[in-house]
Amino acid sequence: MKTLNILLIEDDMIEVMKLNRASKSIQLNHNVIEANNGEEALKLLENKDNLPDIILLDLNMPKINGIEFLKILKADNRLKYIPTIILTTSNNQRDLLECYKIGIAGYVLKPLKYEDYVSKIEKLLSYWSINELITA
Amino acid sequence: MSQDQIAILQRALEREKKARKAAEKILEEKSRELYFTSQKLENLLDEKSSQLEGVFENIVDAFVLMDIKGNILKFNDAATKLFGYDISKESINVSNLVHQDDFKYAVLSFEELITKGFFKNYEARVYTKSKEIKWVHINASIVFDRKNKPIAAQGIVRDITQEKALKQQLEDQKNQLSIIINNSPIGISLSKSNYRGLLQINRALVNMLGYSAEELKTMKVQDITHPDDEEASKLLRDQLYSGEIDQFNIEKRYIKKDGNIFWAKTNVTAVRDKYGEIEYQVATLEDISKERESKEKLIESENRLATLVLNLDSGILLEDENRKVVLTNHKFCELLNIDIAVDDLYGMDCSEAAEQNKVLFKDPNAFVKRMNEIDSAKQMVIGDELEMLDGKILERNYLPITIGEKSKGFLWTFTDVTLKRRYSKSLEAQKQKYYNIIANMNLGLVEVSSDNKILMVNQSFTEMSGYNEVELLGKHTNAIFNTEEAKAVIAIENAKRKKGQSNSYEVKVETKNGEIRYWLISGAPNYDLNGDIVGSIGVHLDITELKKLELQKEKLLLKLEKSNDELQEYAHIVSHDLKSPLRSIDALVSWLKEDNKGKLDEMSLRNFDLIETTLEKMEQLISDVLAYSSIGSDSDTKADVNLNTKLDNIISMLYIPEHIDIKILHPLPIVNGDATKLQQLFQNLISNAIKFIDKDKGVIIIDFEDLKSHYKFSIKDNGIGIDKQFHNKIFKIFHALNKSKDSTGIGLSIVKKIIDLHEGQIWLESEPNVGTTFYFTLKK
Repeated sequence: MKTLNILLIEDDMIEVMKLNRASKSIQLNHNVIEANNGEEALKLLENKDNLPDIILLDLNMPKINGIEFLKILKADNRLKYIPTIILTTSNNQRDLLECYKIGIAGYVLKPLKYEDYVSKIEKLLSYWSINELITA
Repeated sequence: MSQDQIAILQRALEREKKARKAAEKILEEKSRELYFTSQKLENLLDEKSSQLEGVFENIVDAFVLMDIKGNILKFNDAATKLFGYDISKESINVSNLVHQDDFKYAVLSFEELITKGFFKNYEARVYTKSKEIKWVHINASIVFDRKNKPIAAQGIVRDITQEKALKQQLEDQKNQLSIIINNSPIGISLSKSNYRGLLQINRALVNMLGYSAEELKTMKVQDITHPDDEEASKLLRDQLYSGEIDQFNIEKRYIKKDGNIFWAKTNVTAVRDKYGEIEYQVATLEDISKERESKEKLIESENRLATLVLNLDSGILLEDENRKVVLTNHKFCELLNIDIAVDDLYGMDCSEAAEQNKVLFKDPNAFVKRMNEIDSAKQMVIGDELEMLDGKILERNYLPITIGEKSKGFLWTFTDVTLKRRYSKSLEAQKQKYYNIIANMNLGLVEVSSDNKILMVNQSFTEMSGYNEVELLGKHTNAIFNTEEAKAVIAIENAKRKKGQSNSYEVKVETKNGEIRYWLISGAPNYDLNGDIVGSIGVHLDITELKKLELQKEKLLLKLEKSNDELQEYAHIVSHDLKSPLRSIDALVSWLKEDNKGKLDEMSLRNFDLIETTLEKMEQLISDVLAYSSIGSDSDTKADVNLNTKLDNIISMLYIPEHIDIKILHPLPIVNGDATKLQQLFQNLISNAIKFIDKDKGVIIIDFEDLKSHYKFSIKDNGIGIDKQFHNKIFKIFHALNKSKDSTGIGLSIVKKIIDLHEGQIWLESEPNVGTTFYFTLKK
């Protein structure tokens, strides 16, 4: 099982903590890079030599929101190959459709219970860690 | 030559014959005497011959003496005159005299003369010197000498040319008469009074009767007379016999041999002798069957005509020159309220009658005056109208009737036109009424010709368009429909009119003062009396205000849609923003519990659990509010939904405790609706039922009934039941009766909202502690 370079784009501090803690608690040494918003993430992604394996993206963010970010990402010839998984509390059908239309690798709803969250994250990460990915 | 002359000549001839006979006798005797005496008294001969000569010379008839060879020896004066030869100067042989056609007869007669010594009654033609042909009658004898040797022949020659011609004429006349009789188309018979049967019958009569002339000769008139006519026929015959009449005419029927009957005009004339007794009866018969038939037809047709005239729907009065009634009918009496039989009117004086009846008319004097005017003018008058006191309106025509140049009288006809006039008056009134409506209605009316020229506009239209009537009449419609858009529309619509279609359409026009208005036009083709399209009529309604409202509505709808969308988005964002902290709190609580494992007392742990439960409830509340506000946002996703599969889904998805049994009594229908919402509907109701079952054995029964326009569903449980007083409240939002961790009070509100969207209703029957049945309907 390989370790993944994960780019988490999330404005909520506790959500970032949740992922870090969950990732740690399942004892897999995945590498989580944080970006508090889309702008920041795009800046990070400018460094093409060190691109993440997957991106976990929240939808509700200030400035560039998730969908806008997704559009920019998918418009980029290189970045569009990075699997992007939406991680959100919004079960808005419209968002779901829109995201799939633009192109996502998954849409995961944040559950209320932390245990449920951990379980979902574990499954998600283990799935992607067994996938063959395009690396730089 | 007349009959009398013939008779006179005949009598003269007779007399001459007798005289000649006497003369011949004398001659014969004398010649014999002469002969014998000559022998005895040879000496006396000379004297005697001179004596004789005198006799011969003095007889009326021609005397000819010739020798045996036929050489003429002697002609007396009459002979000389007859033949024209002077024998003292020229010698003639008898053969010169004989007509070439009679030569053989002459030779034979001469031989007879030689052998017998005489011949009598030789009648043949001779030539005179001037080559004239004459008929002669000759008696001849041989003259012998003393030795009884024939020495000469002598003959008395009589000129019978005239007699012969007379005879021929008589014969011809007889033939002609018979030709006339036999070829006459009129049947002619001759009968003798004391002789049974008909003496003479001509061919026409034979043809008419079919009996042969032979058969008719033994028949009497009675035998061929029709029995019905015999009496009249006999009466006339008797009168004829008794001498009362000399002739009679009768039209009667005869029976033919083949039994058929024919009509004949018969004339019988009596030919009486000098004592007045009937000698002969001449009857002529003219077959008049055809005439009779035509006459009958004529009578029939006259009768028909008379009946027709009598019963005509127009009043008729025919008067003669002197204004006397010649012909009239029932209708005339009826129309003019004349209480007299039609027949009694004949002969009446019209001017007198008019004077008497003038009181029937509204203007009696005008009536009489006009009538006299017409009468004196004697010119055709058509369509005079007479108003009667009883309200009747009569149309009167006057026609002088002339056949050829001759006046046959004057015909007045009267027709009751009261109804017609009343109709036309009411028509006029109707027209006026509609005209007023058109003029005063709030709709613009325009009549247009086929080439789009404005023929008529009403007041409203001039107000609508801003142009006055003068500015519009005769102009092309483009004058009013002045925008490019309107012109295009009008062109399309006019094409429809020409095909006879009518419809309504909208146009945008600019009025005279430059204002943009919207008109709704109802156009229909305009037809003439023959049904040909002559243009169109348009009713114009100014819908500018309406149009503005419509545009406003459209704008509002767009706005509403947008704000709905925004609201929806907003709800999602709010729910996201509300839910996120819940997740954070939950994570933090679980980390606190995890990080302080074993350090927390029981109370603290219970409180942590309470925090978690509260978070769950909060989460549920937010989800429900979001669900509720989402309903009605996108209702255009209706499709056929198979409720059976939906229900299977729900049952497999919901947590159903083991002690609860769900029964579906009948297969559910396929309904048209929003699949997600219908699922939610059933899900909410079933989960409610599950939630409130407090019995050891729970039963949920789902049923359905097919109503006319709706499907009716029922979901019955044996749960805690709902008190009557809450039945109406439970569908209102946040009215949860049992506040519990999984009851937010929104579930039934969502149910109600979904049912409203499907044009159904929801109600319930419930008994506390026994159970509840929710009923709801969904529109088909």
